Amino acid sequence: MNLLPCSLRILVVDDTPTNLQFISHVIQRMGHVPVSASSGEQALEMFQSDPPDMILMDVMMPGIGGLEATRRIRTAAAGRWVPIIMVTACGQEDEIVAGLNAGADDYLLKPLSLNIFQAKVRVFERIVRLQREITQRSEELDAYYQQAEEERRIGAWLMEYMINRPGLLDPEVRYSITPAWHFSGDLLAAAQTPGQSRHVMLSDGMGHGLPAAITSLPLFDTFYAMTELGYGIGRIAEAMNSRLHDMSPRGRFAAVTLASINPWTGVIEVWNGGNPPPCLVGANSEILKRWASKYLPLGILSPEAFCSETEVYSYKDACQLFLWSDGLIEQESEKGESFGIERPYEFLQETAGDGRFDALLQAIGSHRGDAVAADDISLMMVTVRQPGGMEPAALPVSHGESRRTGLRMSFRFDAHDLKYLDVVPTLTGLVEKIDGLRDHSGHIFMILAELVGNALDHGLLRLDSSLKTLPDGFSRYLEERRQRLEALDNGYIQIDIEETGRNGRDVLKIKVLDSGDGFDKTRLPHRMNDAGQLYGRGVALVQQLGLDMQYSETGNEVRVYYDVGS
Amino acid sequence: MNIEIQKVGNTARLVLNGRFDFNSYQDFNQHADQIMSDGSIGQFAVDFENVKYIDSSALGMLLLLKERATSVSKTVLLVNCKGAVYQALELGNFHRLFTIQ
Repeated sequence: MNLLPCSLRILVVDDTPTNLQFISHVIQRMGHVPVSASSGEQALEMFQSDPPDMILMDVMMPGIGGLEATRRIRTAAAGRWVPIIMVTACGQEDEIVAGLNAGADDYLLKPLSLNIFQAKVRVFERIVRLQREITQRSEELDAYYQQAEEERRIGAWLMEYMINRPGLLDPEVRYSITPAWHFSGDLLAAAQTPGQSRHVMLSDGMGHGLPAAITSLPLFDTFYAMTELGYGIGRIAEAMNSRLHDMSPRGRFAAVTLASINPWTGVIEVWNGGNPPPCLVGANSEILKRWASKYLPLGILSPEAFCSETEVYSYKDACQLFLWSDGLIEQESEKGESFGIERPYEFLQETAGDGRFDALLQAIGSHRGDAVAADDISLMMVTVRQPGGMEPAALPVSHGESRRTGLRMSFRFDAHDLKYLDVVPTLTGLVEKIDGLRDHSGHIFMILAELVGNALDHGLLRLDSSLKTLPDGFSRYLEERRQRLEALDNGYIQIDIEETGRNGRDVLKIKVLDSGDGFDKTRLPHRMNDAGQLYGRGVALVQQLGLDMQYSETGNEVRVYYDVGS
Repeated sequence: MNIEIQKVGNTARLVLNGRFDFNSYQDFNQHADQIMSDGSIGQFAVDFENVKYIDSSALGMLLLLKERATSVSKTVLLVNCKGAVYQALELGNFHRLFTIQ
């Protein structure tokens, strides 16, 4: 605080010129600036045109006098405080009380004692200085407040922008966010991969308000960009962690749950780092599966220490996936009792079908009552249909214009690449950049995903699909796959994409060849016809797109002809 | 929140009282600073006996404490974690980073 002596403007009001002269002289010697008025009226006028820092007011004056002048100055000052010391004749107790009542802050007795006069001026000098400090601080505080309001506005806009994305407008996704602050640090997102798997994300950024929202921003971008290219959620979690780890200040993190629902294969994959376990609720209100938090929140571990392994569940029938943030379980009632980690599951089991989402929201609302929300509360429900029952996205309408360009792409990935590279999203990213193929990238992704997936799983890793039909078989299949992939040290997959003419149509010839032993072609029709069974679905899917598919004699090479226009 | 420091041998026990949340930032760091430069102390024990509530900002403070402690070769222990505090640490898988007692 700045308490260096400062020079004050002191208004001296007295109708006796010698008094004025004497007091002004003393004030000047003390290092202040005297200004004088010879009547109450003049004092009021001078106060209004240029307010002084302090006023010495004689009481007995002709005209309105010192008391009335004091009253009027107090009224005119409205909100501002200027110390007024009245100067009164000795022994007039009534006059002193009247002066203080009129608004004076202190009094001096005539005849003036020079020592007391100087001491009192110094007292008010200190008070004036303190008051200036307070005014300055209050102005600063006000400026901070304005700035904070502006930040809040930007933050709220950002959150709006992030929430209002097409993915969340999907009728199969319902959500609710109750911010603890002006806006939430919880973030929800939903989007579909080119292969029509649905990805959802719940992110609970550390803290509240703007810092929490900012922590979530890079996650949000990564989620949408990578989902669009068809990356799996494990890879997305890994990329998000790296971004957050590199770009946010130490000690900042976000609890994130990612879930992927594949409507073709009927598989839900979840990666949960730091959120309450999401759950899958079946048609009979039973909890089919809970995915416990297995990992640290994102942004804490270095990329080297990060684990992107997901936990899978195969569902057979229509069901609902629920996710919520810890604000929901920690919400306290008016009595200070928290909602509890188990309560949401109980509510979900007690309510049937479509009412569950609203029932849980209502339950948390009535539990909360008038208690404050200490943390953001978010809840999300995804309707999951019976697997396989959906139609692939319609083929894009041909514009009737030949775009035959003679495009040829050829790739060969060896064992090392296959371990560390997501081949299909990488190629899809490339296809998206080619004019005329962009509209087809979703289908090309699905075809490549099926063919490359088969080549790797069955051609190189020699996995048996029938394993998937056993109880808990899908998890076992994936575990087996993970182990064999890790142990893979030779072999390759070659992918050739060529634009060519066939029966008068422009087609994309997609050829996938693996270095494996191939398989018995005679089993193929069975696999295709038996589309209702899990392991047949992949190939059936490609057939559903109405594509011509041919296997080579040895079974380790497959060609698909995909129509891109007449 | 109220914080008390108890030194026993080479361990400094930070006894926390009340809600450990974003409001505790300055207080927690000031107390941690006192011990950080104390050469006779090799270990922090953050005592949650009297903490009923912990939020994500507090978890962030623990992460920072651990990072700073590690840089001056001190270790961090979380003791007497129970109820909501234990639940929050467990949910975040903080046992992978801290010794929790």
